[in-house]
Amino acid sequence: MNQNTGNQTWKHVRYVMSENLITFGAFILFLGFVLLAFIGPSIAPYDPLASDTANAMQAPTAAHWFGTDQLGRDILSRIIVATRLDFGIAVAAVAASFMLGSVFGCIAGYFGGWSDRLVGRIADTIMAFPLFVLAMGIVAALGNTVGNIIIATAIINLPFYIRVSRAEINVRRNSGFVEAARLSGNSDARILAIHLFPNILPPMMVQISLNMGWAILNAAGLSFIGLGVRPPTPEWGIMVAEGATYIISGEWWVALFPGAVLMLAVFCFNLLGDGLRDIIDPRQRT
Amino acid sequence: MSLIRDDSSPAPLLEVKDLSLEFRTRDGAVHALEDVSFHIDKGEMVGIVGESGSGKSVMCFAVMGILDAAARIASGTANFGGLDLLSAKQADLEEIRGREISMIFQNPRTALNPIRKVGKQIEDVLLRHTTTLRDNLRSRVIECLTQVRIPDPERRYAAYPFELSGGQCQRIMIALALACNPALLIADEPTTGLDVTTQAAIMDLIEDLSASRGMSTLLITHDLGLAAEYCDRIVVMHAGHVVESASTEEIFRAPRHPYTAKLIAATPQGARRLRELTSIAGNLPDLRRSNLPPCRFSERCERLTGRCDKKLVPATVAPAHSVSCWNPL
Repeated sequence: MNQNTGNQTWKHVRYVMSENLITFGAFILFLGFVLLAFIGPSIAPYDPLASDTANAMQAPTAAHWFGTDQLGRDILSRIIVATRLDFGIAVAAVAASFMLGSVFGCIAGYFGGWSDRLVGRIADTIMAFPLFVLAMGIVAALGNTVGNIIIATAIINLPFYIRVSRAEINVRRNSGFVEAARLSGNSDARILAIHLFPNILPPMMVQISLNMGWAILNAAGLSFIGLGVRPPTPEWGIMVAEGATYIISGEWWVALFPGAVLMLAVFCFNLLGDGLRDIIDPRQRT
Repeated sequence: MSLIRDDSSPAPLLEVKDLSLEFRTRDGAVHALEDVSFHIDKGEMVGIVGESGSGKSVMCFAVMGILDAAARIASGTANFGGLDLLSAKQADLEEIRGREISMIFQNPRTALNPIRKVGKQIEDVLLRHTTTLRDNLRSRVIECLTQVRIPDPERRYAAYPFELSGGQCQRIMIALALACNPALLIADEPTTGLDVTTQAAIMDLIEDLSASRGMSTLLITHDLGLAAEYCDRIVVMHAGHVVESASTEEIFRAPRHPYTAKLIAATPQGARRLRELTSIAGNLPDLRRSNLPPCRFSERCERLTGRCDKKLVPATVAPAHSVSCWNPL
């Protein structure tokens, strides 16, 4: 039976993909990034940290496809190796804010009353800050380690999850199936976990996917201004920051390639959202 | 709980006594129910009829303990096998709901979780209330689906509610409600929104299943014709009062309350023509008023007398036939 449901899910995934080529493209791109994140270090042609001053600042060639930077490090290798760090930060941050945000939002939306007011005020307080500045503040206060970047990114994304889940739970709170679930002896916790939460996953998926893009941008942004990951660690934001100083003197490739990859990653997540929702929502399976 | 299953005990399965309930709103208290009393015996099918807003559903919600937060039970008891449902702990109620008392409502479509397979939804109830082993769950569910005469139950097990018709959804709801063999089924307008043939099929199904299990059924409806066809006894409600209660035969043969009589005259029956139908003048009184008359029908009543402003006392006019009226027919 499980085999059967598995097959059905795959059939459905294939169907959604074939119906929507953009989703398909985004999905392939996403898989590519994930693959790079996993096997990146072993397929990078050069050591991302090895400097080679004899070959510094070379434009793209057959040996160095994306050129080399001011220390002669291979930019392609650095981009590939950085994928794991950038994706890791984004995934961890989004997962944390998704989990925490859904719990808070579900409680607020379901029980209402003072829990709703409390959670709502927390979300409002976070939203009151310019979010990037808040993230800067958090990292500056806690110290710039990868863990703190994740915490900062998770905190600034929290209100979005709280709001989406609160609103989605709220509109379903009094629906017939919740009443029916209660009438068949389910406790509030069970109703929330088994009946309500799965129903709000499709809109949450869109949020997750969009947020992944933002989270990557945010992590790169923090590194760009020097509050994130520290050099010489390969990271897209740092690479763009380092390259930016050379654009004026004509060495465009140092900033362009990491920037383009960063853009591609954000783009990929933004496109993925709708597709993910279609895959998760069984109502699309007709 | 042993009392519930004991068929020899003469006590009614559920006895609601003097239930008064109000909703607190910004415009003051809405006196939704006042001194509502009725009972249902084991194996009996009782119809609660009345127009929209007469408090039928609220009364069921009170019995099931799922009232809105604004509702307050002012007085009354609901004795179910020795337990007062109105003052019972939430945990005890959770044990009873779905196992001893089940409920089906109108709009079966919205009453099922839209993104969970219907078979899984029935499994949820079985897991919650019975000791069915996980290995046997699926076959138990198929059995439940077969009992409600769903064609091709093996395939329907994996269906989502949106893939089924309204009638089929209601069958699923019935399967869900009856999965744990409850002693009492509350059917809140189970056929509203279904077409007439499906209506009859669903009602026949409920009747058959109740009879074969010795289950009591409380049918809530505004359709007197439906109640007449299926119920043993009928309780007529108006504006939060029980105005009359008697056996179905008696209530149609000799209705005593003017409201019941009007209601019967307003019910379409096969042989009669549309223009022979009467309508009941006036509306339900505004239940927020503080000066509600003792008889809430008095302002619509043609048989109003001087005594009608005294407090009503239900009178037994015949065996098992009681009326709340100072000037009955």
